[in-house]
Amino acid sequence: MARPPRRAAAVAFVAVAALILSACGGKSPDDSGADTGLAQQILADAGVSTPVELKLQYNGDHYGSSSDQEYATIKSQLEATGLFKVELQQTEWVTYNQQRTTDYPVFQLGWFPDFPDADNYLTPFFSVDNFLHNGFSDDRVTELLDAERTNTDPDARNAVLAELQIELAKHMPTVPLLQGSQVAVTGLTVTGVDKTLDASFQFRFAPIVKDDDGTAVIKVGTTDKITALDPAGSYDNGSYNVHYQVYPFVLGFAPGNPSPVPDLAESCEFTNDGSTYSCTIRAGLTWANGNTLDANDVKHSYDRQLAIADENGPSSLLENLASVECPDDLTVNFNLTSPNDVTFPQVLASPVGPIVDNDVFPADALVADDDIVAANAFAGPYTITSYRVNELIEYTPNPAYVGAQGAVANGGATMKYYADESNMRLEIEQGAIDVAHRSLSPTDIQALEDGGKVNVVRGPGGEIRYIVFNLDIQPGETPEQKVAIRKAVAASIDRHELAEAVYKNTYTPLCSFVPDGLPGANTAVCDAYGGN
Amino acid sequence: MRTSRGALLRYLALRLVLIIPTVFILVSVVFFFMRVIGDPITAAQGGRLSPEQLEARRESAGYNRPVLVQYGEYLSQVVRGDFGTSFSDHRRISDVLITNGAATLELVIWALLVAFLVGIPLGRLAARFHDRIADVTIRSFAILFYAAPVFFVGLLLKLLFSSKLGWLPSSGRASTDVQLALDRQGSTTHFMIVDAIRSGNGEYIADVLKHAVLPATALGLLTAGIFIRLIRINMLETMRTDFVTAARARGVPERKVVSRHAYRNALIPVVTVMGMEIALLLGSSILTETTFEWKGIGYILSQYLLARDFVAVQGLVTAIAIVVAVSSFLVDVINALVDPRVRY
Repeated sequence: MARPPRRAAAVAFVAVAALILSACGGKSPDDSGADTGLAQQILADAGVSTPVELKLQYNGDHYGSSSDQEYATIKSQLEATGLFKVELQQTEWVTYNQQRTTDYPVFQLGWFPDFPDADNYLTPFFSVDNFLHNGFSDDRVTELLDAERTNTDPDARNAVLAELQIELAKHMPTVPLLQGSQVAVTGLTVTGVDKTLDASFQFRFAPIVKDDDGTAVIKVGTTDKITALDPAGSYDNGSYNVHYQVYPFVLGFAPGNPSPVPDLAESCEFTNDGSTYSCTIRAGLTWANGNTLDANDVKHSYDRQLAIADENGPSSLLENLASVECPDDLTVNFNLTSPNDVTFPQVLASPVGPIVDNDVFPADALVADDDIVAANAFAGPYTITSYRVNELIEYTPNPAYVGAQGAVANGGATMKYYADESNMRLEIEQGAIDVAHRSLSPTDIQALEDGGKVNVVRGPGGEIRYIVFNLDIQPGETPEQKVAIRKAVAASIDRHELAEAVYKNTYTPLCSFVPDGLPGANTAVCDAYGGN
Repeated sequence: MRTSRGALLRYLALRLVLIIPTVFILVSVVFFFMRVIGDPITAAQGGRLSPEQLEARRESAGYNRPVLVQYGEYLSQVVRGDFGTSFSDHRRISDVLITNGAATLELVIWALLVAFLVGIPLGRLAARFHDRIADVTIRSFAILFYAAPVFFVGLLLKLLFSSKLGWLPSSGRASTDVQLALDRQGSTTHFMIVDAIRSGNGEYIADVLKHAVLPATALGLLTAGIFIRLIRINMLETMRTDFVTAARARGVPERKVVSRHAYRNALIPVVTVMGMEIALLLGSSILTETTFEWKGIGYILSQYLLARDFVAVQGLVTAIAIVVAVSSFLVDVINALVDPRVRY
């Protein structure tokens, strides 16, 4: 399961103001992105009695307090058509996470990709045994999913992806709403952040510079949290951001490039009729503690992910990995269950991909954070020289690193962890930190931008927000009526209003299932139901 | 005299022994309350694992055994100082208690200091100027201090002294550079002020003190409100007692009557209330710590609660209960020593 979007809180009065505005009329759906006439026609054609009663579940404590305003606006938009009567329901996150797949007919979900590839927005949601467990299954969609996943010709694959999204728009098991931008707030003398806010969605410290001084230490702040330094024991943004700075990967992302390139590897290729993905590891590499770093560490890392399979870990991403072989110290062969899996290189550069020191990490057990730091088991662009979990981390450049992220352009970095985004906002304003990354509220970002004391840097974002239907328990008496209701909801929502009024343009309308900026993205949903 | 001393020792011994059933009851209540909601693995991971995986995890962790067996094992762990390991971040709860507990204890000590510095002089002043403007004003402030939610006071203090005036830092226990420098000293005590003093660096000490001012004030004012009212009432009562009247009749100056007789006697209830206040301060520290990024027990407890990490919550609540029980015992000891009216 992918990491969901972090909190993006909004001030309560904004929500109240939006409610007042919508109660006073506000913007009617017809003069914006929504198409009320189409929604009405779809429901009438399917013989659906209106208003359709929708119980819409959302969760503000996990998907951000702006969700309150987002869903109040959606309710307002849907009810303004006269076609729906919406009851909003909210529950705390753990219960929500447990019950959404079984008890909720219509619910909010956010998605942050495991890797920047169109497939990561499709297979998890629309395959037969999708993680939503929403009862969606369609033979043509399944066929197209298999085709895009194994098509090694980029142009041909994009054509399949386009057809797949048009096909999905006929069923609308989920309604895409918004696509998030990556946003970082920086001090006025900080540069290089734009180099890391790219479509790989990895926040790297390496290219950031302060005061044009290559020896200056960069102070970064975040509200993310670390679950574990051990890559087998965590699968969240906060932990992965640390992993990305300190562990090597077989393949990684060079700044500005969303396609994986060699990190530890010299080269990789499909062999054995596409059943094996074979990589040659650079010679002469060492860990920061002096241990040898070679193909045996790579095999060990993937084997232990599968062996431990921790419930907080990312081992589910290795679904297509049958085994790992190490014919010599510099060669590693990944044997695949389904051949020619074009997403496999992305998997190697994803949260399941950090390589760990086989002298420090046992094959079948997690290692405590402090033990990893004490063993200096790092070989990424940085090593950790001081560690207080979810408080403060000190990163020191690793001169031995020669991988995809390139040379470190600063004298090190610190990462401070905030419990409250308002404290992070105060500290970036006061210059106590140089960069605030994930997550300030849209209103805070706008206020900071207007204040002029800081720079706001934006980049393409992979996070998406959408509404999910459980096809088994959603309203509608027949499958045809259920499809009609989903389509009518898609036609009744004004994504532009959500992006502007709720998220102050820190999100943009999402017009299909694959977000804009990735190969294969199109506007299938807006083409069919309005909202372009 | 010997009899009296023997009675005191018996009293203290009895109080000490009573800690054991108190803690036992607290630990038991916490354990069974947590189990009412379900086993910790289902609570934390229920939506993320298949029923088969969930059952396997429950079995490997021993949560499929009878509750009484689990209870007995938990008690034996607690006796050995082992409060388990959290599910959500794999930390040993005993480590969390040491690192985050030190932060909370430091905050509580700073808050008590503020409470004493504000509460006692103002309470004395209010009694001195009984029913006059100063008294009414101080009493109003006392009610305000006590009634205002600690996070609200914290927010106001932050907005004024940090955001608006820029005099004090808004959050954290020290600046990033200072915190790293103190960490580099090695063998940290986890008490930031102690580590700063050990460094011998005046700037570090000043930095740590500056960071403590706002959270200590926000939390300390809560207790100061109680102290003000307590001191005032007790001083007024004492001033009406026979021995004060006698002192006045002997010609003892009013200032001495107040400071030597009324004031000292009025302080005794403060000691009693302090025992209860420690529990209140620990509870309120959740809000203060979150408001000021003070990464103590309260903060971490709120994070574990949100994650439904009941093993961690159970361990921390048990530890807090033990601290409160021991604090009560210490207050009883002090009370018995300073207040001759305590019967034993």
